[in-house]
Amino acid sequence: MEEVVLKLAAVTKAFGPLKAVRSLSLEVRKGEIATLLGPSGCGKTTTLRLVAGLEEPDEGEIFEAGKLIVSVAQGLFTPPYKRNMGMVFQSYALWPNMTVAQNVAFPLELRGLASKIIREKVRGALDLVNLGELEQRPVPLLSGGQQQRVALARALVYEPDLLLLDEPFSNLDAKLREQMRVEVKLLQKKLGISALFVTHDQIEAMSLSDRVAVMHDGDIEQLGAPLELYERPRTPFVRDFLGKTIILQGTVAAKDQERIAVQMAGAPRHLSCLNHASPGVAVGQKVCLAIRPEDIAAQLSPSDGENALRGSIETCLFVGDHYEVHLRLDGGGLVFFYLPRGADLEEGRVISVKFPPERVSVWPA
Amino acid sequence: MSRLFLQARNLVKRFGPTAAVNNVSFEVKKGEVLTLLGPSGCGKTTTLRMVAGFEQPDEGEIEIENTVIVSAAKRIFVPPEKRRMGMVFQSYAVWPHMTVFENVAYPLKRRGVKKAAIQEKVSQVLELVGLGKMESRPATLLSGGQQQRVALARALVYSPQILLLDEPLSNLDAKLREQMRVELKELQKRLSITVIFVTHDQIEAMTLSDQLAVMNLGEIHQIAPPREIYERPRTRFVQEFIGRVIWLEGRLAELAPGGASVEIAGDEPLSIFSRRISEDVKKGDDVIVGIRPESITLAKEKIAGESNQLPCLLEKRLFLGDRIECHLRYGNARFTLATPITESFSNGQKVCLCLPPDSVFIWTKPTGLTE
Repeated sequence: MEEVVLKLAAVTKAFGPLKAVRSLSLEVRKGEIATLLGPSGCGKTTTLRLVAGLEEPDEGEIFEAGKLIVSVAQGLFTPPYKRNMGMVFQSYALWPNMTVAQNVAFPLELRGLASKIIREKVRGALDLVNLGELEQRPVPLLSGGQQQRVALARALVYEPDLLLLDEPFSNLDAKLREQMRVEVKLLQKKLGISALFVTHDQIEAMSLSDRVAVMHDGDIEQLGAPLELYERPRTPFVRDFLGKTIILQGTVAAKDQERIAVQMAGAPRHLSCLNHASPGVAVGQKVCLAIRPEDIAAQLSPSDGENALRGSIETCLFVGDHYEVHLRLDGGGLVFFYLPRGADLEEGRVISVKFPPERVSVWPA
Repeated sequence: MSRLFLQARNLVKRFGPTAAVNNVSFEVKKGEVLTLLGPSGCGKTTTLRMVAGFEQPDEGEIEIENTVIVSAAKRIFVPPEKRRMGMVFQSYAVWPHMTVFENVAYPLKRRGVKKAAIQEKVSQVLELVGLGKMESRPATLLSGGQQQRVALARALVYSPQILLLDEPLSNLDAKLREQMRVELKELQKRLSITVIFVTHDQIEAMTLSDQLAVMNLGEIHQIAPPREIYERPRTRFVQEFIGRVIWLEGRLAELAPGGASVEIAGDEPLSIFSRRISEDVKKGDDVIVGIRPESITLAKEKIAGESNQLPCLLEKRLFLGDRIECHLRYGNARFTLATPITESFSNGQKVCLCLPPDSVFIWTKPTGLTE
């Protein structure tokens, strides 16, 4: 059994009539990055602020390393500075009137450490984030990426049990974001630190996390490893929020333990889908089929083979490293998929696409 | 072969001491989409505004179907309202106090078109952009995507000879932008209308254009169809601005017709052969090497007898959903490479990159670039 560093039990928070967080429960295990992912307004930042102690819940309990730190029923609320957590904000929240070293030293001074120890720890934290050379630099002279590294060093310097990251990369440009993503991941593995990370960016969430909680409307819709969420979404919201999904309509023609056969308009035969994602669809029921564009295999000579569908090319968009092909299926549905550069297809051409049975999921319409 | 429609020759526009547009020339054929693509401040919008007549060039000429409409030397300047051009702006510029119908009818009213004709034209063009049922809706109640469709309908309603689009998709969210991109392309083809399109977004530029002009610092670096720009960039800027590139530094060791080899500094010095060499490099020069990541194959170890193999350390693999992003290091150079989720490498492993000579580009190393 893994050690739990943070536990939320049935935590609720309302702002006036709006319930931002609804009876949410979650555990963060030691050494993992757990991520709250969702669109704006889903309650992810409020949840993080409840953990940090910047908000008080209306109901529920929070445990830090097994110890109760917040309980509405018992009237218990541990203030933020008594929680051993380091927080990094989207806006960095650095003091512009201080140098890099002074910013990082601040939490230690607040805790009354001796100045010799402070110097050592600050140096150690700045080396970790590769800012060892910039100790004396005033903060306003740093780039966005460097400022975010200072904020990270400041959060790490007093060796917290848990790192709280609130959209830390959102203010960085695309290239820097990509670089910081991998730096944070490598650093977190090296230190073995636990982190609760909040983001609306699915790429960040999937690449950084050990487990992701997809949030919707104040609660967790699904919690799991990134690959599991991507390949086995349990709700339409999770399916459509992560990655790109193509949805087509059909009717269940037959069904057994292993497979579901779906009749689609204009298709010469049933489409066979492995029966894994979809509880409770019955023969005769109207359903949605979901498939990821990268799972669609194009067959340039039209075929009527198993799980092959014919269609004509509507547009072939050149996007640099590949083509995005939009295909109008014979039955009227529209799908898109990718082809490598070099495969130049003229519009109007009839081809087939094959849907691998294990990659198509069936959902109630 | 389609007819030449618009020609811009040696356009110059100065704002104070700086030339926002510096000797820019291009041609647009009838029914074709020409895109001006570049970072902010490259002069693309100023160029479009000169075509529209919102700015007067300091030098140069613009000709439409063999009639000069602007010439600095001959002091010719046809005002915007006489140019028969439809323009769509980034900010929509839809009138909030009018309905959808009134917004689109406005340019026709100003031209004194009869009421019955206005009704017919507006209905037609709203149908065209998929807003047929929204005629009487106040413009303020529309979503961003719908407002942009109104702006497009308003630009199309008086059958302009050419459509000028200034970052029309930039204010839309990512999903809507993707959808509008496809819609715009299909509409343009259906109407076979001539378009000049301005954007800083390379994906929009590549998917929508017949010809693509890549601009930087007031100048056009290259004009060609998107695929040619992508596959045969003529300058380092063009390669860097479009698509992803892996950069390495080295020294040009051998130069022969049809190929060159570069010595790359790193953990294990090695030599890479290239067939794409910038004209200004000489033997012995410090050079930078640009490679498109998607043309690279990643192997577990060196393949015997093959050249152009770069041994790298795979520092970290990140799962991105539809692909794995591999973070690699060779010497001091760090770069990323996307691989399918089916690959089976592990973190900390040594890997080997195979670089096809046709996808390795050699450029002069700019002075002042830090090591």
